[in-house]
Order: sequence, then structure tokens, then C-alpha cells
Amino acid sequence: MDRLKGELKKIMARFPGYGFRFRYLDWETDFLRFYRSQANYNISKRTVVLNGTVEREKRKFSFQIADPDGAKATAMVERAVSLLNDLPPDPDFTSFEDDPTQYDYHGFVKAADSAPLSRKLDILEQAAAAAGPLGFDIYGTFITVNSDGFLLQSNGLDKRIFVSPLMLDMKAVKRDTGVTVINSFGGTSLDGLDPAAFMAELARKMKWATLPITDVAPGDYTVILGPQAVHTFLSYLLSAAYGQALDGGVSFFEGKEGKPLFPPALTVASRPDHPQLIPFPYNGDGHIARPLSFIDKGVFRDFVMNHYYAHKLNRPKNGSVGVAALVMEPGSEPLEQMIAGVDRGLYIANLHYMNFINRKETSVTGLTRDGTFLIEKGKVVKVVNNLRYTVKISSVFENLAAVGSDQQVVPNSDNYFEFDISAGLVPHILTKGFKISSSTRTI
Amino acid sequence: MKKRVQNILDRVMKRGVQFADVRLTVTDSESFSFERGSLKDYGLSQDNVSIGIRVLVGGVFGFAGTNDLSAKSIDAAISAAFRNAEESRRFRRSAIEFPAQKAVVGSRVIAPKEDPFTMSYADKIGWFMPIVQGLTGGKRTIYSRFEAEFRRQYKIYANSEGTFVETTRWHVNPEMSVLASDGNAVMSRTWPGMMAARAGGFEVMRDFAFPEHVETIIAEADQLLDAPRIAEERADLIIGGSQLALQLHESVGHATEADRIFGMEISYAGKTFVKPEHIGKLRYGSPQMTVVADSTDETGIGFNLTDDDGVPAKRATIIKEGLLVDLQTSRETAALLGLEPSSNMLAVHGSDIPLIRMNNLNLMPGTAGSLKDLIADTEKGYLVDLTKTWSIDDSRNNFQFTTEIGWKIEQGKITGIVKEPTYYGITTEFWNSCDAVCSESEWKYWGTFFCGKGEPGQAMQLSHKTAPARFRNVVVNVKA
Repeated sequence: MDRLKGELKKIMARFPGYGFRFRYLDWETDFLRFYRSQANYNISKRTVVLNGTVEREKRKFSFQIADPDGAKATAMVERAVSLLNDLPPDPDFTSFEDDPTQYDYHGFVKAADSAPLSRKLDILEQAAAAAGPLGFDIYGTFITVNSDGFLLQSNGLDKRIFVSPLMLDMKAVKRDTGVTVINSFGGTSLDGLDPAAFMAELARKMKWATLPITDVAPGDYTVILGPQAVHTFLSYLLSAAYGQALDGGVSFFEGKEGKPLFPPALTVASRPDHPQLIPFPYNGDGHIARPLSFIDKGVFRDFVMNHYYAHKLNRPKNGSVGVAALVMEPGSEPLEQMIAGVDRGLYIANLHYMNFINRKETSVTGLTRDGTFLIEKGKVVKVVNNLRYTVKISSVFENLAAVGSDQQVVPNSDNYFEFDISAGLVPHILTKGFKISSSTRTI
Repeated sequence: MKKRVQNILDRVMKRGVQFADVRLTVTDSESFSFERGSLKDYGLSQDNVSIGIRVLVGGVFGFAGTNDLSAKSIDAAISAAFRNAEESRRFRRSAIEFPAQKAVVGSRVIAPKEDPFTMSYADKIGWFMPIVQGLTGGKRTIYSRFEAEFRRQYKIYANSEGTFVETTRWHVNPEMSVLASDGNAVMSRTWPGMMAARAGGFEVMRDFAFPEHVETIIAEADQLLDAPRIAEERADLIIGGSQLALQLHESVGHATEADRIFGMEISYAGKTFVKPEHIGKLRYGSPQMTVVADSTDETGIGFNLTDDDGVPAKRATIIKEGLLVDLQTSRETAALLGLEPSSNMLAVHGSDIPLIRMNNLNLMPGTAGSLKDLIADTEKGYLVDLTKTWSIDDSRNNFQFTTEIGWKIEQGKITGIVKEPTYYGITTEFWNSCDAVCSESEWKYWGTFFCGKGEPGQAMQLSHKTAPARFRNVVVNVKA
């Protein structure tokens, strides 16, 4: 890594009239996937990559080099220099991030050190042994990631970028019915996982999963949303609180800063410094990660402004990592009390395949997953087939009736374009008028 | 490269395996992104090499992949693949059954008519600029975007049974879009929609006739701001080729992936309502519905000489005249189901583990003539196309789609447009309501670069060949 950095510094010195940004990443992961209480496959994967951008006079060219070295980087930069002047200029051009603040990595650990394959397998064997007699098998993924690299720029930024999270997603699936419940762990060390407590929580959910199965008609329901569902809804809602959405004309929050939009019980912030969450040293530009208040006692406060959109929209940048470190403040109601107060409603643990119908209006459709239950007269009485909802997310939080006292860490793997693990800290919520639009007729 | 792959395979086999394969890919990509008439990003990735080593030891697979091809890194990957298999054995109740396949040796280059990687960037940008500048022209247009990505991938697949194949393929994924606003609502129009990926080179860009569609999408985005919504509870729908490709993808393609039956994807992608006992018995759709998984078709993105399980390319009929007769399978899942593997095990890059993936999953054409003929044959209903929202449940049973635009049909003629038409259905009920599929003249490839599955995630490139089709009495009343 140091040798490559030295080569890149020489390249930058060779082309003094140009701006450079180099982001080097050495990324390793171990993915243990399991199904039917046995290993499916275990993958070790390593990716070494250099992402570069060369800029000059409102023009930018970006590139990616796999398994990089000085010779490859030199060849690509020479190519960039040769074509840069012929590219059309960008009137919104903004040069690179310039925040010099360095993150203090003191106390950071490598997740893989605490989670060798043998220890993961020990935990899974214990879980399978516990779930089996109850009529369940375990399914899921046990992931460790180690990502180490640097950001080097011609404006003097030179930062180490290191993250090393781990995550366990475990689903217990009832063998005869397929009813599924989930429990998750996320952090930076497996030492933070108490296997007995983890399994006790999963067993509590498995008890609900043994109830009779029913279906419910479409309509408006009082709903208790589990922390994973709350986290997903908040992440989608707050995608409108980014400079990009504001600039693109699709932000629900446009013109609503300082306005009360939700009940005072709703307070949500991005807290990359929170000790229970997976730490993020920097945002995507390399700015030191800073906390940001999104919603304070129901009042919308601020947008995520990175370097580019801050310049383009003439607003101050804030170094936020946005929804990658969401914290929703807890309320006062324990889950049991919340359930006891529902005459007829639903408990929804998790959401699946949600997409915007109209981003500006926050209208979405999606489905329930990993445990949907009917509540009658203050008790969870039945398992419900997975359901489709079609709602405005803003209404879900406008209709907030109670916030749980039980904040839970919700790990989340961004598994589509670039693999990453983040976490949020959120409680249960109770909301009314939640529109169920159809049943899936399946578990 | 070939020698190197063979050498790695030989080293792996010397350690003793039931089966092993080595896959190497070299991927080039070039992408252009324009916003509001200006080039925002021009990116290039060349010679992106990665390699994966998979071993079947003691009835368990182990896999390791890397894009660092140094001797030290390859040694580490080989060791990791064996370690992953050997250690996982203690958490495995039954050994993986992996029936042998005959060896295949071959090489194929599917060259495009116009190779974007040999064209100058100036020529490409020169072709794009009038389009992207034209997109900014609407009175109520608040945003416009144009993106194009070109990919080329060279792949070697070699296994312990003697199979050794290499392929080189070119793929393209372009799209343009505009947003219009009246100060309150925002409506979007795209062209050619989100299923625009195709096999080929720059000729694909020309085939899509972008310049001719610029004014159309600007005008339609504007008109949608003032357009009504569908008022009926149920309606007959003609679904255009692009939207139908995604409908097929979500409610047939993923539902018939055999790994989902066994729960191998429960942790992320999900499962399926399809059960082993449905094969040969489930009336999945109407007799108008025949679906094939065809990796032999060189004109689709999903062409391969073998899949990444070493199974020779084939044309597998999954649904024959409405009856479910097969599934998309791997060797492992085919053995569990008593089927022949369908050649659907694929990985995106060398360092990714293969999974059951769609290749060219196609809805065969019918006899309804042209789209114009089908509209003329429809007394009352809507033509819907160009996906806006897509969503389907964990078991691939309940779907809901919103398209950007719908065209109202009355007495066999288009009489107006509707905004955000949304339809919902249950998979088999919906496909059984299909009473007409347009003829071969309307049968075209659509595709995507972004079919997500697996952990770590893989965004697969694949194709669907469809012709517009009509579905009777579909629920269209869903609103947020």
C-alpha cells in the first residue's frame, strides 16, 4: 500500500496542472451462508482496486484499476491527461473534498480476528441445536468484512480509510409451515455477541411463529413495526433528505426545513459516532463523518450535504454519512405494553422489496417479511401471511401513535452495487391507518 | 491466461477433490453519465481481472476469489477454498450430490457490429451531445439524464472434468430520462426504459433511435402532469415488451430458480411459491405462455458455451403452453429434484461464486400479430409500458407494478393517456389471464445489468425476449 502511494505521489508531481484523487481499497470478506441448519457455502473474497479521478478546468475523468500498481496507474493517468481537454466542461464542476480532519483509529479492531470460521461454526451449531427441537431450522448469513485503504489527493488530503464490521442474520424457519422469524447482530467484534441472549430473543419470536396461520383483508390497520421495518422506512423517507434529491426536484423535504412535519415523539439523527453502531470514519468524499439532526421532535432540520451538492446548491457541507448511521430516539412504551394497547392490528417485523411509486410524494409499495402477526385484544394471536402495503411513508410517521422504549441495533448489508455493512439504532413504533393493499397468500 | 488457469486447476486437482473449477474473467467497461445537458462523469475500467477457485471436498463446496493474481495471492485463494470446504463439513448434514457432465472444449467471440471500445471517445460523446442537450428543452422539464455503459468480458471456465471454454462478449446498457414538474407533482419518462440492456456494441445505441425519442419523452412527461389516473377497479391490459420483460423476470424467472425451493436464498433474495411437486402439474399460465431458458442464443446477453457449473449451453423449456415442466437448476439442485441441469449456474466475475441465474429467459411469441393488431382487437383497456415501480414478495407470488405511462384503449384505438397506472396480481392467476401474445415480428430482446442476487451481492447481466401480450381483468385500482 505504501509503495503504491509513493508511486501515485510521483504521478501527481509529474502533472502539476492537473488535480488528482486516488482511492485505494483492499477489501476482504468471508461469507458463510447456511440453510436448513447446515452450511450452504463459505466464500473468501478479496478485491484490490484503485479508483482515480483526474480533473482540469471543469473537466473530470474517472477510472478504476483492478490489482493496481504504479505502471498501471501511470498508463491510465497518461490516457486521462491526453483526453481531458477534449471533454465537454461541466458548468457545475466542483473540485475535490478539502476537509483535512483525520479520524483517530485508536481502538479499532479487525472483525475477522474475533470471528474465525471455526467460531462462527460453533455459534451456528449451537443455534441449530437450540432451534431443532422447537421444529425450526436456521437459515442466514454470517459475514465479516475488512476494508483497508487510503484516500490521496493532489490538494494534500492523505487519509487512511479503514472499516471492519461483521454481521449475523439468522432466520428461524418452521419446518412444517415455513413461518419465518429473524434476529440479527451487527458490530465490529464477535466478542459483542452473547449467543445465549441472541438465541433467547430468537426463541421468543419462534414462539409467536408457532401460532395458527391466517390471512387478513386489505384495509387500514393499526400496526406495530419492528425495528428492522422502522429502519427501512426511515432510510427510504430520509433518502429525500439528501442534496441529490433536493437538486433533482424529487425531495419530499424541499422547503420544509424548520417545519413540524411529524409528531414530537419522532427524533431521528445520523450518528456515526454512536458507540453501539458500526463506526464510519469518513463520508464518501473523505470528509470526517459528522452527526446530523434529520428530525428533532417532529421538526425537519437538515439535508445531507456532501462537497458537490453543497457547492451546487450553495449550502454548507456537513460531512454526514446520512442513513448509514441512523439513530431514532426511544419512547417510553415497552413492546408488551404497546401490544396490550392494540385492540386489533398487526405486528410487522421486516419489509421486503419496497420501491417508490412517486419519490416526491414518498408513496411506496412493498411487502412484509420474516414475521407478520395478528394482534387481537392486546395479544399476538396468529401468524399472518405476508402482506403488501401501499403507503406514503410520510403518513406512516405522521400517524405515529407510540414509540417503543427498546432501541435495537439493526445491521444492514448494502448488497447491490457495492457491499457494505452499516447499522442503525431504532425502537418499535405504533402507527395507525397503515394501508394493507393485498395479501401474498404465502408465508 | 489459458495456461495460468490450467496450471491453477492442476494444482487444485493434485490436492485431491471430487470436483473443482477455476474461472477467470477480464472485464472492460466504459460509462458516460450526463445530467441536464452536461457530462458529469466519464469512467473507464480496463483489464479488470478476477479469478475464482471452487472445490468440492468431502461433499461440501469451498470457494475463494480474488483480483490479485500474484502467486502469493493465488496460493492464499487455493488454501482458503480448501479450508472453507473442509471446516464447513462439520456443519453439513448431507453431502452434495454432483453428477458428472461431459467435457466441453471450445472458444467463441461474439463480436459487435460496432465495437465501442475501438471507437474514439470523441465520436461517442459527439453522438451523445445533441441528445443530452435536446433533453433539456421542455418547458416544465426540471431534470434530465442520459447514461450509457459498454461492457466487454472475456471469460475462461475450466474444470476437473476436462471442460475448458473461453468466450468474449460485448453488452450495452443505455437509458435517458426526463422529469417534469408543475411546481408540485413530478412525473418521469424514460427511453428505452429500465430493461434496455442488450448484447452488442454501439449499433445498439443506434437501434434504439434515441434522437427520435427525445421530443416524445419530454412531451409525455409534461402531459402526464395533467393526465388522469385509471378509474376502474379492473381492466384488460396490454403490457408492452419492456414492462413484460420485467414482469417475466420477477414472476417467472426468479420463481423458477431451484435454489429458492430449498431455501438457499432465504437470507437475501428470498424463496418461491413453486414446489418440487408442481413440476409437470402446475398450470402456471394460459396455453399462450411458453417460456424457455436459452443459453444457446448468441443474440442474447445470456449466451454461454457452458454455464459456470460446466453444464453445456442448452435451450430448456421451463413452461410449455402454460404447464410448468422444468426449473432453472444447477447440478446440485437438479440432482435433488431428479431433473437434468438447465445450464443456469452463473457468476458475474471470476471472483464471484456461481448461483442459479437467468440467462436468456424468453417468453415465446404468439399469434396475435403486431401490437397495432392487438390494440385493434381490444375493445376497452390500457396499454402499459416502461417500468416505474416494481415489487414482488418473498415467494414471488404477489407482484405490483407501476408503469410511467398508460394509453387508454377504446374500441380498438388509443384515445388518451393515464399517469402512473398500477396493476397488481397473483403470479399464476395473472399468467393464466393471458389470452394473446403478439407474433414474432414484435419479439425483441430486453435486458438488465442489475439483477441482484447472492451474498456478497452480484448484479447479473441477462436478457428476456418478449412480445407485447394481453391480460384480462387485471386489478388496477391500487393507490397509496
